[in-house]
Amino acid sequence: MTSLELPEVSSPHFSTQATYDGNLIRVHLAGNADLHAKDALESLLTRLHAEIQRLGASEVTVDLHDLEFMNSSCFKSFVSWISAVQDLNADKQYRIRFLSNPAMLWQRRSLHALKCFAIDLIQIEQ
Amino acid sequence: MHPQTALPDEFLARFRTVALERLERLEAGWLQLTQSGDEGNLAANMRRDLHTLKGDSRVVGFGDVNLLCHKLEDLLTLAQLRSYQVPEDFDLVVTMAIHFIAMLLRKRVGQTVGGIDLAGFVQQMDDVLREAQAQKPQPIRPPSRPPSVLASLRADRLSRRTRHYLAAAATTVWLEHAVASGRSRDRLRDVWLALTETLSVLDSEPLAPRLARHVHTARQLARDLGKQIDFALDADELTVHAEIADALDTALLHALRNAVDHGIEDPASRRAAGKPPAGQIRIRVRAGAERVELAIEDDGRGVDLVQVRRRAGEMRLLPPHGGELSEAGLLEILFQPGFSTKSRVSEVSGRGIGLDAARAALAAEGGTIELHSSAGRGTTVVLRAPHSGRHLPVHRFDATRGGLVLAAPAEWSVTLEGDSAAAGAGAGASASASAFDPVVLLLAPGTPSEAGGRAPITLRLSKGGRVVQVRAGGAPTPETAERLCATSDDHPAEVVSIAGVEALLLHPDVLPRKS
Repeated sequence: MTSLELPEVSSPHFSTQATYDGNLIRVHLAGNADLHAKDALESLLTRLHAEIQRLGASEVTVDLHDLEFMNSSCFKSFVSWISAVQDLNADKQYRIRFLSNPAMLWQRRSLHALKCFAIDLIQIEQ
Repeated sequence: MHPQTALPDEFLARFRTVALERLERLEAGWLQLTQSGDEGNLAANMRRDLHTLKGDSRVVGFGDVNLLCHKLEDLLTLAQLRSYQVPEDFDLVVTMAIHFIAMLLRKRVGQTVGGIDLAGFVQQMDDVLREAQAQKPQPIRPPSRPPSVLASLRADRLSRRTRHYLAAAATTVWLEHAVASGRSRDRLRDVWLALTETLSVLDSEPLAPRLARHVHTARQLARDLGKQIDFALDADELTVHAEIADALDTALLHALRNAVDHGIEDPASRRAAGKPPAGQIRIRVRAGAERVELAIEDDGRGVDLVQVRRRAGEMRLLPPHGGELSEAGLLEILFQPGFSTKSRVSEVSGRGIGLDAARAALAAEGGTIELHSSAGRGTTVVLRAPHSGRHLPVHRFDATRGGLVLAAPAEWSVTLEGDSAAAGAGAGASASASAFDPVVLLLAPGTPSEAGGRAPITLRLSKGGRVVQVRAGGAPTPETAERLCATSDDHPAEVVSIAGVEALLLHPDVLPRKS
């Protein structure tokens, strides 16, 4: 099985963990994605995009259940990521499934708004 | 035919480039507003950018961008009412809306917009707006960090808040000088002069570079639209207050764009109308004693009043019961907000796009905008604005001591208290007991007593039901003051010059009321 080459972020306030079981890629984000996490998150998503294409995966799950806060700068990284997926040829595009936590205020509307950027590629689940 | 397909590719490309630049500014501005609050003209500039983008997008047929701009305006208006203390998802949706618009602009070039859920996004914007409206405003929190005066100073332009800080400091220095003696007095005055001069320089801006930039842009637009236009710039050299320059800038942008886009006809139409193929746009700038005047004249088709009247009727803007509007009344309708947003009539007749924004920008600085038009012969837009808002009619009167000259804004009516004459004779102690003495209030105790042999009188300043009593060393006279370093409205005073003499202008609104 080809492994997922994605470095984990581990800082006191923000962390990421990625898994790949040969079929499904799952990325778990936790903590506060504020200005200090911006570069790390941007780098992670860029690398994730490349890895998904290398592995030929058709879907990735992003678990936001434990992500307590995300500021607009970090959210922009998601917008850029989605734009990059949209720019791929149709046969290379992959789906993004966000696992949300309705208790998190910031996720309430923003994830549904994010889905509107690419309704055929994004799925929001609780 | 869809308007987008009717416009040259170069025009659309330029629209897209400019629109994306506006969005970058909007995003940076929004970030700053939510982190530091509104300083200077940031929010106003953002509104102008967004309003212009909305108008431009409608003209070029980007209806979806126009719709999102409109919704975004609603969100920004509410955010301003909440002093930019908005919920997290509100913040994120505003940021995403800016990116959504950018995506729509970029997707236009030979790409499908499939997969984009515009209606769904608009629904989210509406929902977040509705929820925020339903919430009680949070008390305004102080910024998370103190405002950085040094950071503002590093910028090319000082924010209004920073200017007020410095002006208040300068006023304090001047007051210290007023009660000092000997070399200290001279040194403090030198410091005050240096502060005042620095403020004046930092606040001023020459108009010429802005005019040149606008003419250059207008030439490009004319070329993009396939029009032949000769531009003539007849301008006095002058420097104006930076905020005045901004207001003129906005109005000039709209006036020139309308003249090129809608005023001047294409060469074939001009020949058919018996005109030379090349149109003329002349910009005149004149500096009067108190105001600067910019006139933008074109020899184009003029405003199509028939179309304006028809559209005004559709929008129920005409007088009821069949009343007729004069030509001036019809032209005035062009300044109505939203007049041109729901119909292409204004695109044909021109003149509707952004005139309300231009008027608002000028009015905020005490300026005006007028529009004159002659069918088939052209249109003239006249912008007027004060040089700097520096001249102010005042009541001048002497202080009771210290040799100081005081003043109060002329918008306050001033009368002598009934028994002031008696006070002058030494019998009015009871009448003047409730009046405050500005010198005592504003200057440190121990002010040198220089009553000059004149007995104090009591002046009654009143405006809109508010009454303030002031002790003075003489009767008031009407004068014009030059504001040297204007403090904020909630500061009790500022230093002005009256006929070359430094004086202290009182702000009665924040002085003690009559008990």
